[in-house]
Amino acid sequence: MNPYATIDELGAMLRAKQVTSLELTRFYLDRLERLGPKLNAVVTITRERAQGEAKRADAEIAAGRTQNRPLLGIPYGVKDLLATKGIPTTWGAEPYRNQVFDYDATVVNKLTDAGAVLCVKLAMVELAGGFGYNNADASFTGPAKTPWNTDFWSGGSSSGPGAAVGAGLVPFAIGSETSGSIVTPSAFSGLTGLRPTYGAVSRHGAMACAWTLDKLGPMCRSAADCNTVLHAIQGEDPHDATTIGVYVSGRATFIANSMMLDHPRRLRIGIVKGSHEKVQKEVRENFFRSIDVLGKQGHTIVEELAWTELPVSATVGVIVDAECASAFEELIRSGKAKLLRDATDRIGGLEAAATLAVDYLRAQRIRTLIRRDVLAMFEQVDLIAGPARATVAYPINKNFDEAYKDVSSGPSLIGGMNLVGAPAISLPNGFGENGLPTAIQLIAAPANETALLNAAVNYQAATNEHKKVPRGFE
Amino acid sequence: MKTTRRDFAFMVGAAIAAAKTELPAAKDKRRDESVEKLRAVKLANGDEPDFTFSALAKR
Repeated sequence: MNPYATIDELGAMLRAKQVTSLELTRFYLDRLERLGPKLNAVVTITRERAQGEAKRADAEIAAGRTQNRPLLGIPYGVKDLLATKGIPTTWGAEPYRNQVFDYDATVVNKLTDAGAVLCVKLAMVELAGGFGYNNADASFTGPAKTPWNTDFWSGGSSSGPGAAVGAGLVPFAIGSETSGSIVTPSAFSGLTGLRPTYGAVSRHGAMACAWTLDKLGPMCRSAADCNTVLHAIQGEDPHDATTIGVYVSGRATFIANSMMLDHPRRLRIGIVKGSHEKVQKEVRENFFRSIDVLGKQGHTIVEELAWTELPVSATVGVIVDAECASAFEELIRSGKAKLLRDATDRIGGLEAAATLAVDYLRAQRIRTLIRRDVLAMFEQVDLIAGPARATVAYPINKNFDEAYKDVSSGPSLIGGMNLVGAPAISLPNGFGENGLPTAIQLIAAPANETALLNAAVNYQAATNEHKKVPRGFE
Repeated sequence: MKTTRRDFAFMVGAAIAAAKTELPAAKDKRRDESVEKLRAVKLANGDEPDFTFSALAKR
């Protein structure tokens, strides 16, 4: 059995009865138990629930009810900020270690309806990093490690999904992003991760970090898998008002992978001025090699796009501070924040709680101006491309701000595009220092996932970096 | 027992003072710098925040 098989490949095996969902599920459960602890990737393995769901999937397959059900019988994991009935949901944080909800999050319900098999609750940075952590060791499960070199971090805050999908412990996982938490672990762990449009996927049952920024999305072995999973989890939910009216009525929200391969789109892809000049050498080289591939595929590359002069990172920072301090006001008031793992987090909530209302409102007002500037860029181009991260993964034994001092991402594409609610996909595109993966990110205007995924699926049809597997985790 | 605004302000102040030695100085500075950067942006009276949330994604 190939643990790095894609959803399409696993689905074909299940439908051809070469393997049962129960066998497949036990295969991944065993890998999670055996290899998960080496990467600090796992919080709770849900063996009993998984085997029950796998048996139900096998019955559906035996009855021939497989049409348009690509996730039927496919194992998966979720970042441990999604509520799951009767199973601990820890938010990666010591004060919530014994928290148990009596319902499943909407996204879990949707995957259950699709016939997928929940195998594991995966590690994460405590409170999704909302209090400003500065070290990989910011989770009660310890620092999650990238399988490419276990002296380095898997990225965060969806650290467990990054490590687990990167090491073939599950075929796909659900992560979350407030500002970088899907893109970063996808880049650092060598997998393909999609941050959907804000509101595309219901957050009902997900821990809130910053309400006006939080998104859930798939982390997979390929862009095609991200497309498949997104189709299953997106859609309006009366429990999450931000999901209403995201997509223009009448416009396609999903196009099948085969259709995208048969009809590749020729798009205008922009590169933002300053976004690659000061990144690591290999990151830049791999980025331009990816741009060459996209150019040869018929896309028009537009260089030197001007970025907004407004303070993007500061705006994100103040919004996350105020909203996260509000979301965790009880934790802060109770004094239990002192139980958090990272020293910065233990005091960060208190600092954040001191944010003035006028500063928060100022940040939201500036955000409106940033949105105007960023959306204007999408009048010139269909997609924006940039290095997903300026560096390879951070070493575990150093604080982040001490790791790569001479490197800069330039304009904060991650921050700016999260403020706007724009979707992005991180695609592996080679390797850099210490054998660690690098990645390119493609970004589309809000609600334009079909263009984004068309370019990404076709890019991966012409490349094989996403198929590489880490040594020691075969 | 109710926590008044004054109680909360004292609590925050005391906790930060107690943790000063533990908090990385650079982090402390970065938060202050962020706020200063925002305050340096000139805004017009009509520059409104968007609190419709779901409209953030609409085009």
